[in-house]
Amino acid sequence: MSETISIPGAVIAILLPWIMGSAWIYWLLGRTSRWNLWLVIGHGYLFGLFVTTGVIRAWSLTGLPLSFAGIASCLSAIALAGAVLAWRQPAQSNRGMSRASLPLWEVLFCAVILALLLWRYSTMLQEVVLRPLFPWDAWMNWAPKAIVWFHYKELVPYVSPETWLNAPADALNYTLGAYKAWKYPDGVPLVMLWGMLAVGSSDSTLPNLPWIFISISLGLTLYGHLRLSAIPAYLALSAVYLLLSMPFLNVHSALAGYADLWVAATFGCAVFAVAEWDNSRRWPYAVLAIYCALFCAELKIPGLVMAMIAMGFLLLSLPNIRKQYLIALACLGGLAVIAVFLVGLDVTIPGLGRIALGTSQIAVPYIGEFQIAWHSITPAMLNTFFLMINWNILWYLVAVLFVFVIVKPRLLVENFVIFGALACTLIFLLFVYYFTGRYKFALDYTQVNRAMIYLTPICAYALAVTVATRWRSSR
Amino acid sequence: MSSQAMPVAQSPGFPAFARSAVQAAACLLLSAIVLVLLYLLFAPEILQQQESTAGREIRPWTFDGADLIPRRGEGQKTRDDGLRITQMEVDEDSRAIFTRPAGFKAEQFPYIEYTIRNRNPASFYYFIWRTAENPDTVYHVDLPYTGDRPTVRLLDAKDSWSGSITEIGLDVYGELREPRPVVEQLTLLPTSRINLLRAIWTEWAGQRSWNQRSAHHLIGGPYNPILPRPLAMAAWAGLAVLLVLASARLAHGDRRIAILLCCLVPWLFVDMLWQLNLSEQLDETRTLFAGKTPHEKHMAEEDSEFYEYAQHLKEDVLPAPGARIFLLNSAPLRSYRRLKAQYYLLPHNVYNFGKYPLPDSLKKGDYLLVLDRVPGLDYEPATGTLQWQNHSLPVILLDQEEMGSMFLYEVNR
Repeated sequence: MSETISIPGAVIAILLPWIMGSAWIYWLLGRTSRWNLWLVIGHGYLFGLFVTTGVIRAWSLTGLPLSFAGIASCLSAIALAGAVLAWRQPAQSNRGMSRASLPLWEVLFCAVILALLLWRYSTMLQEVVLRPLFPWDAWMNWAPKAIVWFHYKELVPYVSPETWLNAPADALNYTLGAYKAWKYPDGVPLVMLWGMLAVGSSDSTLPNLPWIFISISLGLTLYGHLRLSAIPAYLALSAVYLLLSMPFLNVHSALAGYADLWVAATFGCAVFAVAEWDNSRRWPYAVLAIYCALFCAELKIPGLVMAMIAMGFLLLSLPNIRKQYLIALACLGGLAVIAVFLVGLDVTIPGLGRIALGTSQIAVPYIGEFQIAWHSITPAMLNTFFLMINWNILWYLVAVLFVFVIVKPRLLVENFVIFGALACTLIFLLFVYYFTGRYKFALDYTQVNRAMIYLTPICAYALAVTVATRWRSSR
Repeated sequence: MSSQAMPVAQSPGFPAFARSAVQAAACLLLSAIVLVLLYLLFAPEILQQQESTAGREIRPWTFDGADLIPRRGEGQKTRDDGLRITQMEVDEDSRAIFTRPAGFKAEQFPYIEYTIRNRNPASFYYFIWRTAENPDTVYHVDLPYTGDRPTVRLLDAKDSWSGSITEIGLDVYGELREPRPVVEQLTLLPTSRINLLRAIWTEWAGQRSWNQRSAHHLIGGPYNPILPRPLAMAAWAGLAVLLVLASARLAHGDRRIAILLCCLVPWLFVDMLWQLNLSEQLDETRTLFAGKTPHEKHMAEEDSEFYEYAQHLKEDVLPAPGARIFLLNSAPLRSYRRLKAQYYLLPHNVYNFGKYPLPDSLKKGDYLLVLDRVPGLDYEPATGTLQWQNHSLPVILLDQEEMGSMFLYEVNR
């Protein structure tokens, strides 16, 4: 695995997708008067990497060997196209943003928060650069694909252990050490592969740098969306600090290699974009939501569900129905789902597979079959939410938030997408751990936090908008 | 919510912010005082300890590191009567044990204070003891690292800290580095509220290095802490916010800013402890990996033996990457050893399931790696076969090391 490492390649691997993505997001959001630089840079990195994974896939379809120069040339051309488009169609001025100068205390407050974040992320950046791939799933599930693809310079197929055993002697295919990992989506290995191609080595720590920058881009996006919603800078930055300083989120940057942080970032950004679409009805935000959801779905199997939740809310908000009716509709939908569970549904759709819903079993094509039974995991859940340091005091604040929403249901109406997505995701995750065989991963804490991380960006957003809404109404 | 009509919340001016900050500081201070006092009055640990000592006055018992006798590993007395740990005994792990006789009732001393200089994050310290009731059992409690200063640990959180203590000591695992660690002093402490607070601080400030569980959950202390940090901070923030609301008529600041600060400061407190942990971890990461090539970094990792073995196979035994390898091991699927071996063998093409060969799936030129020893799977040199459960497979032994054996399946099927 040892090769010469190209530092300029590592810099290009970070900057090129970022610049390309930012150029296109700038053009896209510039079609409206509601945008800001934070959104352009934040979404820019995410979008840039999404396109990069797409270009790698497209390149592999040509049958040419994967080459950094070739893929970088494609990305440069796409960046140039975005820049030309933005130049020919200049962005509208961003009227949605307040340009009032900040009072001195607010400047100092923001400076302190930024200094804290700078300290945190410079510490973690060094950790990522110095430490070889460390966490378990990273070297078990995600990095192996990238290493093999880097070696062959092609996207060698990964197959099930049975297929591997029965393959003809001349077949080139691989399988992984975890039984079902071969079918996990390729998004994360493709991000790793891009870094490996850039630095010219599969044994460098530099391809792990996106695990730092994805957090930073998530923070920028959160800040951008909150500022777009007229939330004061100090409050928006406080929400970013809450999110980016959370120990469990930090671990997934510092110990790079897992997919969960990526799902959290793409899902979070998708929901932010849907909320903005619902709020302003500006089509570019629907486009942002769609690309984020697509990226989310190509990262991990639970990412598919998260993407469906985000897209579900986009569909719900398309007709611009009054939120009171939507909430009523959602409640009816929930009751209908419960009714289907109780009555039972078991159909096989040709080309898709078996769909079963019942009180004893659920089967979802591609995702799997699950036996349904109640499992008592409450002590472990309380422990991990409220007593361990995973989330600092986030869940205490979220608990207060829920009380607020119950007392002031208008908050729910005003922030339907955010609270709806938060509630749906929470219900889904709690259902998975309370009712399926995955309960054991809650009891031993190996998985439950990695699922809850998907909620954290939305929680930070929800806290900020709730506080801001309350403050506006209390003035 | 129409964003176009949404008013931009105006920020208060500096005087209002300053008044709010003072209000928040006062409420946070009052909240902290009230909560600490209430906790110290009603903490179950204090009530239980007071009950068990029944008001008897017990004096601390201090002894020097040099009073400990080496049982495993080696140590030498320092000028100030400390114990310098000079060598570990290397067996299955690297370990040193030092003990001394004792004779007291456990309930007399619910805390231990330890002062150990020059600890490093790659070594782990445990306070150990035996009791008259179970003389063959050695009990232990970990001694977290919080720096070189005296540190207090609660002992009676463990059920095993009970009865008559007959022997106490230290058990040290891991890596010794220069300068060698020095156990200066150990003091067994009686019940006191200050000691309880110091023990809580030890749990909060104790440094923890990365391990394979870190990406799954962060405990931030022992599994059963005296007082979990987030709970304490949430209570601090919650009471402070209530005090802000209650004092709204007295204070003239911006209540919203005061509430925000009352939530942010406890968050920041947890965050700073976390940052210190990260910074300490970074120091250790630098010690291990800074200025090294990827190869040297792998050699500095805790499990470098897998890397070294895989490199040996790749460089000396196997052909160019891409060889089909059946990895056989008696451990269950997804065990660390077999998965890490597979990772380091990449980009070779490894099938990592099962402990016996699958003759029907083998093709000429396939390799079989028997990682460690698989009970019931033996190589017969006389016949050149791997044998197991009445099965036999003709193979060529290519390499045999302590970590495993590599075979080539040469029969054309």
